[in-house]
Amino acid sequence: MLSVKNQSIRVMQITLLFSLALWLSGCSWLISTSSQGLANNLSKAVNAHDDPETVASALPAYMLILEGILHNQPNNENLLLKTAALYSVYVGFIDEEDDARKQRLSDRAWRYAERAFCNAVNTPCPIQSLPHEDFQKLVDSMTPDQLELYYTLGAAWANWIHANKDDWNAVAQLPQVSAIMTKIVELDERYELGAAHMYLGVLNTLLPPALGGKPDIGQKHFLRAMDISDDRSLMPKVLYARHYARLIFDRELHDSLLNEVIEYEHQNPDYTLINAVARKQAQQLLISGDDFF
Amino acid sequence: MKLKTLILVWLVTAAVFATSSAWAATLKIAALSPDGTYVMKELRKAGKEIKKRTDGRVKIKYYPGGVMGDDKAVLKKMRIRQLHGGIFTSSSLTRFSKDNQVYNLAFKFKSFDEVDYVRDHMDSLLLDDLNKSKLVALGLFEVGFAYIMSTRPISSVDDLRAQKAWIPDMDKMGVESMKAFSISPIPLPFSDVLAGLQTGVVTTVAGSPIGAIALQWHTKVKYLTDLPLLYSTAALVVDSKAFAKLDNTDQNIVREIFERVSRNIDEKNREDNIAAKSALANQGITFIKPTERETQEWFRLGGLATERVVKEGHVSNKFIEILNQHIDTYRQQTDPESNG
Repeated sequence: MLSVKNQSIRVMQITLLFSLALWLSGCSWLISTSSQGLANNLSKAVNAHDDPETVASALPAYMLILEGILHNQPNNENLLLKTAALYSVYVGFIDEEDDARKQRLSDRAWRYAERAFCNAVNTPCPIQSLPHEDFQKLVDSMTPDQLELYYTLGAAWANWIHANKDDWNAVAQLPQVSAIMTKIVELDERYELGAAHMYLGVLNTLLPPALGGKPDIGQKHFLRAMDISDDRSLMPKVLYARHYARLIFDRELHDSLLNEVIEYEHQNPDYTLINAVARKQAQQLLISGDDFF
Repeated sequence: MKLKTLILVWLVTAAVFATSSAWAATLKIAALSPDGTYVMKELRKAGKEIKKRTDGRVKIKYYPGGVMGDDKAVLKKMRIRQLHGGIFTSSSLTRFSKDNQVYNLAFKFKSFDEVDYVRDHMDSLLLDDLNKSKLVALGLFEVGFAYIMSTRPISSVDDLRAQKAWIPDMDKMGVESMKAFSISPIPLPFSDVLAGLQTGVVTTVAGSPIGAIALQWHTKVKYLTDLPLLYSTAALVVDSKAFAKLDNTDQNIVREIFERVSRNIDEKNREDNIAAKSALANQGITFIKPTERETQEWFRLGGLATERVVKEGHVSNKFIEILNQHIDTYRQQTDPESNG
């Protein structure tokens, strides 16, 4: 007990959350609005788009429209979730170096998600300072009809933590995201194409084993996410390479996963956008792999 | 003519070898800090600066995020020249310098001010001691104060005795210290501590606030005993044989840059530890402040623990005396009424 390892690690080196939040929250928003006329067509158009920059430049208009509607219906839970999810998607497009903007907009996403959550489960906001044990009790009571509520909250939370990763108050809240995703896997592991598995894959591979990281558990989650996705989305492979293969220093696995992503020819129109992002990231990771390995 | 040609060939070959040997001077350094952290950003910046200022004669290749294994594994890889250096806590470097553990003694420091005063006067001694071994120490920086954190409130030594206290496996000096407190700790590797807290195998841990959050111990403990248990540092070291292959000018450049970067990391870790401690409070951890009497008892037993570790040869009496002298001087300067 009388000695400490070098723990000068900031757990939250979750560069992951950029890509993850983009995909995960994207699915959430897009899918959950798919039953609504224009929103349905918009969702399809966005998913099928192969140019992330075009989508990024178009999203703010819809964010403002939703906020405008929300102005008249401030406690509309469904609308709060949609707005939170849309902001979360957009944060994924913001330049990684633009910390202030990421913080501002991820905070906005968080506040909408939190408000929806507090209304829905009848608990006082803010919930960020709830002791973990108390929050865990709320998560334990999650029911299948609350998947969207909790998932949107978890994705917005992860995004917010990533945007504030230099703040230990934010970093200390990562276990709450883990608790949410663990319960979602328990209730419906296929929700959002196995997205909760992806979060858990990343969360378990943030730290080296010597400091408590669990690459074996992370690997199981990544493999399950890949099984569920069945190559419809290529992002699980990218994250598996970026987090697991790098953590265990397996360049062969790293490069083969990324090359599979780049060479994959079949286009699934529902995932064109996310796969375009995945390919771009795969190329960048292959290049930076020369420095890493 | 033939001889001249031969000499010429030999000289050219030698020159080529000399050049390629200079180009091949790559120092491979491992760290547990994940890529993207402040530590790794600073080290990578240092690597670029070293490459630039040595005109490419020295390159630094990093292996972040524990990809080369824990401290023990990295030291083993250094022995077989697969790696040339790394960042290690003092307890991992006892084979090279047992006295680098001198800051790790239980209940020696009362505040960061004391630590800063002592380190200003002693860091160079610790680095010199490492340099006498097969290592070259390029920097020393703070890991931080470790605090007792627990599932039940701990204010006195008796409170701690009633708990199942964790100790890192292989921490021989820690085990010896605990004897002075009449505590039989439960040894576990770091990776098993969270599970240990979850299952109740251990109910009390010790670590820096940064570590507690990074390892998610804060989700299981409810109390922090607000008294610094011990202070620890980490050192950036490289194998002396690998370092000796660099020419003197390059050695000086590498030293200068890594020393500067170590100071930056030192300062940032201090800021982070203070912020992380405050985050623990914000997360609902209750801070317990021992009474004056209880504090005296913690420090009295800390003194006995020091005697034990000296007797068992974990740290030399010489270093303890120097440490005590600096602490006494500081306390006299800041509080002349203090009897140390």
